[in-house]
Amino acid sequence: MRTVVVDVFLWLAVALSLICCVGLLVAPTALDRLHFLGPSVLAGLCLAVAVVVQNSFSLVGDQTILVAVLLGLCSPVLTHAAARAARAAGRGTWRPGSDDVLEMRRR
Amino acid sequence: MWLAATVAFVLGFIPCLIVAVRADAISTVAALNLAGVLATFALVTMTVAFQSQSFITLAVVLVPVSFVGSLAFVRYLEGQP
Repeated sequence: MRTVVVDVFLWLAVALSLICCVGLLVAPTALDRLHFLGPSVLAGLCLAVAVVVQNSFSLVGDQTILVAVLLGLCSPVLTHAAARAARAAGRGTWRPGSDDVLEMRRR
Repeated sequence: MWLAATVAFVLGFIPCLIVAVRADAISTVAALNLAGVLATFALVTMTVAFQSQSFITLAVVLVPVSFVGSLAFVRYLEGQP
């Protein structure tokens, strides 16, 4: 039973990571590509579950949980910063301008 | 099993490399971030495959180092016109 759970979560992590890679490759724009960084955090959680089920809460299991937590904290921050840089590169600033206000009123 | 997963994670570097070479700068940062995550996963699976705890220490160090490195690139790109 334990082997089945480890296999499922391990290959789920592999599948999610490879889906992220393929999505990064086929997405048309930079902002679309940034969306495919999100599932890698979920893959880290799946990998942590697989390692903890395999090794229980040993040194390796605890450090894998730490890796998953660090990934969960760092990856969204970096994605947000990259999206902000993409917006700033195209417009000069990332802050909303007058055209954004007009568009919001139009909606 | 774990070694096959390591190989799968390492194969994920190929799309990241293609995007980093062919796409624009922000896409390169996205590819760099994903490559760092894949390297971390490969180190974690190598830890279990080889029963060596030194790989997991590398993975714990790699996550913040990769984050700071990518953030430095983003800060540089944010100042570009």
